[in-house]
Amino acid sequence: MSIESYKALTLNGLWRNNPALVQLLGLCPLLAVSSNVVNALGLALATLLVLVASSTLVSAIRNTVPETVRLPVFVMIIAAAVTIAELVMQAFAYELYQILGIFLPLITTNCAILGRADAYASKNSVIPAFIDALMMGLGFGLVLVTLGMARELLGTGALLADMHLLFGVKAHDWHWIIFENYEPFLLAVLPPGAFLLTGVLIALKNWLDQTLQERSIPASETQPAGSKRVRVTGVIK
Amino acid sequence: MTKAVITRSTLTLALFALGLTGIVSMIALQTADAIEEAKQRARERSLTELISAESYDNRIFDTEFQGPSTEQVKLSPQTGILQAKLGGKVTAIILSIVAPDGYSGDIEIMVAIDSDLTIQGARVIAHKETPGLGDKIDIRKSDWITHFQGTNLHGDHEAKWRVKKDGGEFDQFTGATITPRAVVQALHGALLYSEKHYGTLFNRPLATVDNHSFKDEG
Repeated sequence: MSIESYKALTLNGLWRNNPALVQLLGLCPLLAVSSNVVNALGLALATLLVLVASSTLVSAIRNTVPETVRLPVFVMIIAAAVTIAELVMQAFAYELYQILGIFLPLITTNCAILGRADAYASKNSVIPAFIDALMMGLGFGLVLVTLGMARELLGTGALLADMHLLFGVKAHDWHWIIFENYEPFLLAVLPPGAFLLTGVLIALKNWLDQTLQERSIPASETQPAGSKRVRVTGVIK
Repeated sequence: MTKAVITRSTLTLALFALGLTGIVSMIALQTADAIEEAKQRARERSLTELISAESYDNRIFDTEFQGPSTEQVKLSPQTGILQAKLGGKVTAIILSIVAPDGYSGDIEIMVAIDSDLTIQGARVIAHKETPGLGDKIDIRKSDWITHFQGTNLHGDHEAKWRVKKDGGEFDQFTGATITPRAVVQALHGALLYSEKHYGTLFNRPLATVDNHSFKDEG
């Protein structure tokens, strides 16, 4: 693999084919857990861990597993990775484990993970699969944390509450109250707020892409080729 | 599909199942102690929320014993009954109970009941209720569980110890009645249990602490 293709993988995972904003995968945990930064970050880290572990393993065994049973094997690998993440979180961040609750085991069903395993890791060698998983996980986590920040800020007027659940006692004073006497804006914390803000994020990304594209056309006549993996948003060419 | 392909697929699946189960079991064994410790810390933290620090001077976790079995309430199989003592006298007991009829799985509750059979505090320790609906029983999500503080068996308790939808005194949640109903029932059971086995739990007969009847108020 050349440096160029690693760059492409990075760009794909973080931006062009972002699992949350473009592929629109894994929306259920994304919407449910992003009500504040600490929950979002906890789930983002767990998802990243599972994604990287499962993609790497799937890539390593891609030539030994018969085509017919590949999906059950992938799901088993993902489920094992999730169980391990769950055990580790239970041991070292018990309170956060309790808050994330059902969404931690549900990472198994996050289609972003099975999607990467089947669409990329099962067709590529270990190192690109690892990079791809890392970047996709970071891209997913980035959106999750951005959404968490926006919802916490709009909903409570503060940021980084309860960070000690993830980082220990020293994080108690990270809580950053930006607006004193803030009237809580409940909609942002409730599920409809999550949908609305995700919509805003997707719109922002598309607007930014479009603006950049329009600016680049006069300079070069070439248009970027649309990805086949683009599912709902974006332009399919 | 030939026989060879089927055999190969089956064997692959079985091998992966075996191997992955092995890895998970290994990690489960490795983390078992740390998880038990984390749970213990969580229990200790919730203890300080259940009863005020002034109401006891003993090491509560050392008093753990298995209470008499009962039909009124399901006691937690892992944690026994704890006694809070002040000057050697039992001021409150802490029961770990299980509400088996929640919406999804057991709800584990710790409840402190003082010597005149009033709930001092209750906390849900573990549950798998639906996020956003049933999980309001959790103190981190809402203060619902604090409304049990000061409740007892006075008056027509059979009618009062229900959710409002069933004619009782406790709020249910929008979209979730089963969860609060299970918690209300379990806590009512805990009170009935403490009344029935008062002598064993508080180390003295009920009549000597309380002269008034528990069924005289409206």
